[in-house]
Amino acid sequence: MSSIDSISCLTIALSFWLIQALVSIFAGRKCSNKLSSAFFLFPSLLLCLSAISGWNKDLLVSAPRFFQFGQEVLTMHLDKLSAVYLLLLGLVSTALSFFSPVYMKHLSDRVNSGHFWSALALFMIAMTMLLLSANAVAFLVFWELMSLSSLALVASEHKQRRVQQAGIIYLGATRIATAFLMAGFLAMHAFSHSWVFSDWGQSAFPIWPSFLILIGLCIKAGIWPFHIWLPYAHPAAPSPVSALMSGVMIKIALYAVIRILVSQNLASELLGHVALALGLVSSLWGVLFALVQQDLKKLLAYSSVENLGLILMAIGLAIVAKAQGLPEISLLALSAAILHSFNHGIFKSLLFLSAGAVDCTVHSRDMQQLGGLARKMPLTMAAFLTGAFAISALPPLGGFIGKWMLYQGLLRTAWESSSLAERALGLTSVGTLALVGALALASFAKAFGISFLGNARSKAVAEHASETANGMIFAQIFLSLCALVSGLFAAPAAMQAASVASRALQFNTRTPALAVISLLDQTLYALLLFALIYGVYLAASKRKTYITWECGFGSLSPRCQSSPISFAQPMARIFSLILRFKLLVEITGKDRRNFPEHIKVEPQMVSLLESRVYLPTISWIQNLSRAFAKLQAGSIHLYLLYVCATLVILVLVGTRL
Amino acid sequence: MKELDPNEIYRWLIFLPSLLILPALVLGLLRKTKARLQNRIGAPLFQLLFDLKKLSGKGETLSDAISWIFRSTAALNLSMLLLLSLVCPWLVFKPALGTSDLFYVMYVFAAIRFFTLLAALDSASPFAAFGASREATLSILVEPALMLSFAALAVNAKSSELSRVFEFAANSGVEASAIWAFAGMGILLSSLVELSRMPIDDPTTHLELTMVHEAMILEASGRTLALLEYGQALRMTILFGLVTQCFMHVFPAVIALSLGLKVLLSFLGILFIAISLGIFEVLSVKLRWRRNPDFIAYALTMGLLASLIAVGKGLLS
Repeated sequence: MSSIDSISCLTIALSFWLIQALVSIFAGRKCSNKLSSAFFLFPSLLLCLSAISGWNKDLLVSAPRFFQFGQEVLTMHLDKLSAVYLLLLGLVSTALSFFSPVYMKHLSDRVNSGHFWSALALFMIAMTMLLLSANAVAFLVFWELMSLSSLALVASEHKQRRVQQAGIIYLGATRIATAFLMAGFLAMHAFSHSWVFSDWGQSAFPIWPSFLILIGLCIKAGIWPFHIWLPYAHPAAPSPVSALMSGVMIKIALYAVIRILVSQNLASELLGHVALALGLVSSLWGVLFALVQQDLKKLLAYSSVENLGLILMAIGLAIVAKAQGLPEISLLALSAAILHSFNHGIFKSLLFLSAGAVDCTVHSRDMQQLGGLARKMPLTMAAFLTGAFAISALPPLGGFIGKWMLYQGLLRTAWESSSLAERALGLTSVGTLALVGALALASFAKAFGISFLGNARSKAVAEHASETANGMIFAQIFLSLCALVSGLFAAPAAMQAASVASRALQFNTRTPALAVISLLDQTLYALLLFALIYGVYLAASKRKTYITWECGFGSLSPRCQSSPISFAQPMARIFSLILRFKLLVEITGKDRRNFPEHIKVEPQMVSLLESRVYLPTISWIQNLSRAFAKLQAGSIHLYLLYVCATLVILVLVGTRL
Repeated sequence: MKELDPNEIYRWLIFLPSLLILPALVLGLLRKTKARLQNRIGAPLFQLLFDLKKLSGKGETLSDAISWIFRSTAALNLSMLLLLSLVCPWLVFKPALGTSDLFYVMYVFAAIRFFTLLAALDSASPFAAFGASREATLSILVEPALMLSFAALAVNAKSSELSRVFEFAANSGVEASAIWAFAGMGILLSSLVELSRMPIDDPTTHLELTMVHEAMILEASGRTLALLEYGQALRMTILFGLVTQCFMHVFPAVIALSLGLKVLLSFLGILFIAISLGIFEVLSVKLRWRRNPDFIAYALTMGLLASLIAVGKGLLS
């Protein structure tokens, strides 16, 4: 295919979305979900196509002068790095166009479908253009479009108080992120006199603007300690939106770290260390909070914090290793970041869609109400299992290879680096990653086991649950297959990721040498063995079905099963320093110790950062503003006094200077 | 088709029978030692094989709450364990198969744990679910210790490929011996936790004190139980084999070992660990659940010591 193709594909896709955004908003509630999703599918497929056809190209295209931001022409830059993320975006949005119509029908009385599709189309335009922007002004414009359109989507059910609160928190986070980013970009422009990213690499900078940019991007990516908006926004947003935000949007923020800081050489070794540390803390913090969640989507949101932490950690390691002259480790780490971004995007979207399918069917995401879905929704269960298996980084699915490369990178610093501190840091990080991995496995064994296995914990599940509509199933199977393929063909995928990373790191080698393990043959051996053992030995046994053993006390009620809280409680106790997790037990009755009449047990989780840092800060700011508000007393005399005082001060200052 | 190496045939000839006999012998020796020390005669050495035969003949009683997860977990886990037995260098003179990357091996062990947890939750039994919760708790504590121990060895050998890590280097120094000793100790202590043996859990009682692995497999019966029992014994043998290999690597600093001696030692070492564990289990008591992190801290300390030496090794010389 010629190079024009991918650009024209993109242009067509973008104009489709633009038309959809305009038409849907006028159609309002009359907007047909089926028609919209068909209209949405076409540009999504075009996006995949353009990413694939533009894979080996390096295209720099300027839009006609009509599309101008200030003095900057809109320039699009399509190379391998953006193609990876475009492909991810295309795949996820393809799945969404099958998933959304059914899901939106379930929300039809609460959400204006026209507004939803319009915001979704704008969100897609913003993300696509963000991936292609080659200068800071266009980047900021689409960054804002992305923030605001995703805000509109998060607040789809804006009549609920919970959603309003989530919307405000998300809005606040995006404002602060943009403020940091803008300050960083302005500083960069002041030093280099250019808005184009590729010019920034050529001039010398002080260290602080790159930190401003990093902080701005980290807020959007949900990195500790800026992650608090994620667990609010995701449960409030409709599931397809969560899938898109958690699968792609937050990854675009880290893509920008690679695009702006790493590949323009703006990242110093100190920045790398900070990124590494932030990544490590957020992976541990995220997974610890994921473990104790009871809401399926909140659990997934915290797990995003963990995985984005891993990606940032890999980016940090790449920066540090490059600065120390260890190109191989740097390459490994950055490939890990890119590959894990892609894979995590796929299976996290899958998990959000499955959670959405569950929510849609039984109208609950509270694990305490679920259970026993395996027999009612076998395909959704298989899809969630695939996602859970992949996100726990178990071989042979997609999650493993990225983590393997990160492990390799860290392990190799332990003998290749020349400083003792650096080596010890590498090995300690390996140990911490093992802890994070075990915690992630525990949280997803819990999420899957409690919600899908065992017996139904509530009437809604026991009586009403059944397999969801075909569109939802298809979307989940599609993403499951993507996760499977990206896992089984991990070695070629890693090679491609390495070639992307090598360009981003400005290494000259076209085909970087990277030894990656192949899992295909061993997976086959294990499956063969399994078929043999199961088929020959296990399948031949005589079976009878009976109730679960209950110590002879008579049949167990489903509520006797382990609850999500009780499953996580022993682990939460160990980490009680971070997890302010308490079981409040209240026993009432006359002789309450021996003959209680009522026993009430309630788990209580206080988020450490929110209660100790954010809330005090917010109340301090509010108090300060209240003090300032007294200045605005509403009396004309006072205002005249202000005018007079200002004039006097200005005159004084003017004459002195 | 490439020509078969006669050595390769010998390897398989030694390896395949030991895959069946060694797990039975390890478990049998452990139980026999305990029984003799408690003045009992005890079950025959190969009781595991008799048990397997008995269970194979029995029918299965399945809970009405289960899904395909429970039914396939036993077979799935055993197939992964057999794969690991081929991949991990737990015996000298063992046929090799594909990659034996450290992280890969760790995550296949994790996959086994993942399915075991799910099977426990699948049966809808609160008792099994408590077992699963405890298993998950122990795993998060022990995983860093195990990983650090192995990682120290990997740093020592400058490779994460286990078959290369466990090769006998010609001239390893005193530091290497120290790393091997500490890492071996770390892996040994961690494997006690992984296998839910004393002092973490007592697998021989019923309900009162047995809280982890046996609780999780409570609903299994018949052939499923046979697969799980054999799998657990095999897992024990592989882990003890790895520990034995670690301790065997301490020797080259003192004396050189011939191949025959190495093969012999790697078998005897596993049996020796089984007997010592039997003695230890008679003498010790099960820890209170809340004291378990303290015990695991020893494993972690061993891993950290091994890592510290490994990290400093290249810098000092």
